[in-house]
Amino acid sequence: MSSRGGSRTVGLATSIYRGASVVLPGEFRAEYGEELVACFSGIAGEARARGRMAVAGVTLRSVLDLMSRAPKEHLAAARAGALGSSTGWAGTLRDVRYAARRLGRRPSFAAATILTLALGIAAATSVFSLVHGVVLSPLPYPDSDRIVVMDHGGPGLGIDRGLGVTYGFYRFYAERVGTAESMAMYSWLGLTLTGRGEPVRVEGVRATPSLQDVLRFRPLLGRWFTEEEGAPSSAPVVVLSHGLWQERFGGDPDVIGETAELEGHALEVVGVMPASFAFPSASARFWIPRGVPPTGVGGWNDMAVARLAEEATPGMLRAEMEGLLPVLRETTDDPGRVAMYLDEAKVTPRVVPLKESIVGDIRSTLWILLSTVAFVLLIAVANVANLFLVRAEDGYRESAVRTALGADRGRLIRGHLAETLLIGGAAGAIGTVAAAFGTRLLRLRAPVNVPRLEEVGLDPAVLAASVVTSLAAAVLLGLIPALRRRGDLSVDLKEGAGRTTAGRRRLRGRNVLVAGQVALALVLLIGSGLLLRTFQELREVDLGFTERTALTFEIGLPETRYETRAEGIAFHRDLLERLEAVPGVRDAAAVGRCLPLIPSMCWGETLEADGVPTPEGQAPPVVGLRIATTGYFEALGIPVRGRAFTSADESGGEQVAILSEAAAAAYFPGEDALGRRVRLGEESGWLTVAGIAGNVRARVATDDFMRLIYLPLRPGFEDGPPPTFMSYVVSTAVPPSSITPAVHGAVAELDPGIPVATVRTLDDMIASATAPASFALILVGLAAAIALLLGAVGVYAVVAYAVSRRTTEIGVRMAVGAAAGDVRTMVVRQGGGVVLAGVAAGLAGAFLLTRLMRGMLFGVSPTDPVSYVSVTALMLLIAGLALYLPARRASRVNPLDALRSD
Amino acid sequence: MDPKAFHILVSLAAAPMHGYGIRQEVETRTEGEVRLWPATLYGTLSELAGAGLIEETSSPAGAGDDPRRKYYALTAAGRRVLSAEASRLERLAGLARTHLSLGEAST
Repeated sequence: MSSRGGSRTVGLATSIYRGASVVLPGEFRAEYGEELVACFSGIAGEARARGRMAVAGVTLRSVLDLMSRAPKEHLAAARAGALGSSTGWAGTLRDVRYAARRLGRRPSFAAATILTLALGIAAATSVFSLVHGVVLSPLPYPDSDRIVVMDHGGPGLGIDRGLGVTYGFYRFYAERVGTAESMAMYSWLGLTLTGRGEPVRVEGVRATPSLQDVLRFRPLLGRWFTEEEGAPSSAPVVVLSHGLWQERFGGDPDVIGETAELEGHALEVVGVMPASFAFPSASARFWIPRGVPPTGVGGWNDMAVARLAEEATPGMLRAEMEGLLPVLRETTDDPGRVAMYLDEAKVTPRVVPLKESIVGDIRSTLWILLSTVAFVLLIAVANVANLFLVRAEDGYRESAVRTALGADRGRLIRGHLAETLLIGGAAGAIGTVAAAFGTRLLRLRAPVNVPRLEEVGLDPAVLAASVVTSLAAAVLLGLIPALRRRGDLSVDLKEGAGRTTAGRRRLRGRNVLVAGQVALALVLLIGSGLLLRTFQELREVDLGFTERTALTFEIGLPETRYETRAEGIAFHRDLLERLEAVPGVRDAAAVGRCLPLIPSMCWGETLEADGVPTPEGQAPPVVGLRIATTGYFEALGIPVRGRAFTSADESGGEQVAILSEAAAAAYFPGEDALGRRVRLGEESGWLTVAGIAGNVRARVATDDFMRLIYLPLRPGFEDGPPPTFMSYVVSTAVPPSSITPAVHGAVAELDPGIPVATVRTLDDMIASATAPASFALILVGLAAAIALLLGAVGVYAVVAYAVSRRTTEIGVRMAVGAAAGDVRTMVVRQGGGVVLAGVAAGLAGAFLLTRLMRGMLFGVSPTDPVSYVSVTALMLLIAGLALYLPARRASRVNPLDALRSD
Repeated sequence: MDPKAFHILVSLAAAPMHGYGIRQEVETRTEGEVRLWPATLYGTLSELAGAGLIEETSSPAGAGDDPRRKYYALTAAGRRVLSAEASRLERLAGLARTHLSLGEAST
C-alpha cells in the first residue's frame, strides 16, 4: 500500500471512528473525545503498513469496542460518576439474553422493525458501494493522485477541453517539463482480430512504452513494452487485456510468444494485463507500442497522461506548460502550424487529475442517488422509531412498576439498548446480504457510461460503512425512548395512564416523526417526478431522423488489404447491392464514420464558403464530415431540401455536397446556402451545395445540433477520409433481427475476414443514449416508491394507534349522540394536520434540494409546477387513504363495547 | 482487580504516559495478548481517575509529542493499590504452588 493512498484510508477510517464516537455520552466525549480519536488514528496508522484490509479490520474492531463500551459510559454518566455493580460482561450478557427473549415474544414486531431497517440499509449500502467504487476510492495505481491528464482547450474553436495533444506538443513537453516525472501519449484504435474463431472488431490503444512509468502497473503475465519497441522499425508486439486473453486464447498460461493476428499483421504477444487493469477504460482490449515522431507537429489526435513530480500540483504543471508555449513557437520545425494553433485556435493547456477526468460528470449523479437512499434510510429509521415509541407506551406501566420496585434507570436503558442493538445487528446482516445482490444488480443495470464499474463491490470500506450505519441506527433508536423516561412515576402508575393528557403529550414526538417522514417522502417523489418528466421529454425529443426500427451495424476494412480508395468503395458498393437483394430489406445505405447520436471521432474539418469570408480574427466553425451513400437520408428519414445524393453523384459530373442546416447557418449566416459553393481547403475543388439536410443530434440531452457536411461516395474525391469505416443502416419490412444472419452471410461472401460490429436497431441505439436518464429514473423512482410506502405506513400507524387509545372517548361521544361522520372528521382532521405540516416542509425541502438536480434534468425546470402539483396530489391521496382506514374503524366503534373495554 | 486496569497501572508505575503510549506499552509487554481498544482504554482510565488511583499530569519535559496530549501518572493511592494487588497476586500464586507441590508429594 502506498503512503499516500494509505494516508487517505487512515483519514477515512478516522472520520468513520469520529462519527461513530457519538454513541458515547457527551460528558465523556468532552473529556476524552479528542484523545480517543487521536489514539484510534495511531492504531490505524500502525495498521496501514499491513494494508487496507488491516485498517478496515482495526476500524471494525474499534467501532465494536465503542458500541460495547457505550452503554457502560451512559450508565456511568447517568449516575454521575458512581460505578454500578450490574455492569460488566455478565450484566451485558444478561441484558442481551433478556432482550432476545422479549423480541421473541413479539415476532411480528421484531420482523417489522428488522425488515424495515434492513430495507433502508440494503438500499444505502448498494448505492454507497457504487459511490465508493466510482467516486471515492483512489484509482488502482500507486500514488494515483499524482497522475494527471495533459489536455488542451481551443477557445478559438469554441472547444474548452478535450483536444488532447498533438505529437509535436507532446514531444516538446516531454523534453522540457520539470514538474512531471514521466509522461505517456496514447490514442485509441479499432482493429480487426482474425485467427482463432470469427473475425472481430476490437478496440485497443497505441501507447508509448512510458505508460508503465506513469501508471506503475505490473502485467499479469509476461511484460510491458521496452523503450526500443516504441520505435517504428522494431518487431510488432502486443499486450492483451485479461478479457481478450480469456476469450480468444482460452486463458492459456503459455500465451507469451504466441502470435495474434491484428489487421492482417502477426503480432507477438509479450504480456497479459490483470483483469483489474482498465486504462484508459474497460473497453481497451489490447495495447500496442508507439513512438513519438521526431519531427513535425501533427494534429490533435492523441491524448497524454503524466505522473507529477513529488510536491508538484496540476496547477504547477499547467503553468509550466503554458509558460513553455512561446519557446515552442521559437523552436518548432513547423512554425506555421504552431502559430495557427496558438493564434487562431488559441490553444491553452489544461491539466486535470486522471480520476477527475474519468469520473467527471457522473459524480454529481451518484451523489444525488446516494442522498436519495440516505433519505430512504432516514424514513426507515423514523418508522422503526415510531414502532418502538408505540411499544414503549404500551410498556410504560411495566417499566414504571419496575422502577418503583427499585430497578435502576441505567439497567432499563441498557436493556432497551440491547434490544435495539440486536435488531440493528440482524437488520445490518440481512441488509448487507441484500446489498450484495443490489450491488450486482446495479453493476448490471448501470449504463455503459458509468466508469470504473469493474471496481464496484462490497469491499471492507463499504462493509464498515454498512456496519457503522446499522449500529448508529440501533443506538439512536435505543436512546430516544431512554431520554424520554423521566416522567412522573405516580402518573405512569395510575390506571389508564395512556389516555391522559400526559399520554397525549407523548404523541407529539411521534407526530414530528411522521411529519418528517411525509416531508422526506415528498422530496423524493418530487425528485422522481422531475426525472420522469425528463425521461418523457427525452423520448419526445426530435432527434432529426424518423426511422426507428432499421438495423444498423459497422464495417471496418483493414487498410493492409484495402489500400486504395477504389478498393474500399468497391467493397461497400458490392455489399449494399447484396443487402438490397436480401428479402424483406427496403433500403440499405451507409455513412462514413458516424451515425447520429454518436458524438465521438466525428469532428475536425473547417470549410471555406464561396463569397462569405470568415471574419478577421475568427476561426471558421468546425464541421463533421460524413461520406453518405445514395439512399442514406431516405433510410434514416432525414428531410432534405434541394436534393439528396443520386448515383450520378457517385460516378462523376458536378462535384456536390449536402450541408446540415446548422452547418449552412454557420457558413452562410442569413443567406440561403442552397446552390452556393464550399471547399474543404485551398487545394481542394469547389463543391456545389445540392441540398440542405435536417439537423441531427449528437447527444439526446443537449440542444447542440451537429454541423455536418455530407459528401457522396465517389472514387475521384481524394480529400475525404478513406472509406474504411462505414456505419450501415438497413430499413426492413420484416422484423430487423430476422435479417441479421443474411447480413453476416453477405459480408462473409464478399470477404470472410471482415467482422460485422455493433449490430443493433436504431431503437436500441436511442435507448442506450437515454440509458443514464433511465438508470437515474429507476433508482430514484424505486427509492421514492419505498419512501411513499414507508411514509404511508407511518401515517397509518400513528393515526390507528391514536384511535385505539381513544376508543373509550369515542365510545362516549357516540353514546351521547355524535354521528359516525363526526367521528371520522375528527380523526381525519387530527391526522391531517400532521400530514399537511409534513407536506409543507417537503415542498420547501424539494424547492431547495431539486436545484442540485439541474444537471440531470432536460427540458424540465427544477421547479416544474406539473411535477410539484401532481406529486403532491398523489402524496395527499395516499396519506388520505392512510387516514381514512383508521377513521372508518373509529366510526364503527360500538359505544357499549368501547365503554366496557379496559 | 480488572486485568485491564491492572495492566494500565503497571504501565504507569515507571513513568507518566499518554493513552496511546499505554496501549502500545501493554501490547508489547503482553506480547499482543492484551489489546486496549480506544473506548475501553479511556473508559477504564476515567474509572481509575474517578477512583483516585491515577491523575492527569503535564507532559514530561523532552517528550516530543503533541503538548496538548493528556498524560497520566500514578497517584500515591494508586501506587499503594498496585503494590497491594501485586502482593495479593504473589500470595495467590504462592498458595497455588504450595498446593500443587503438596499434591505431587502425596502421589
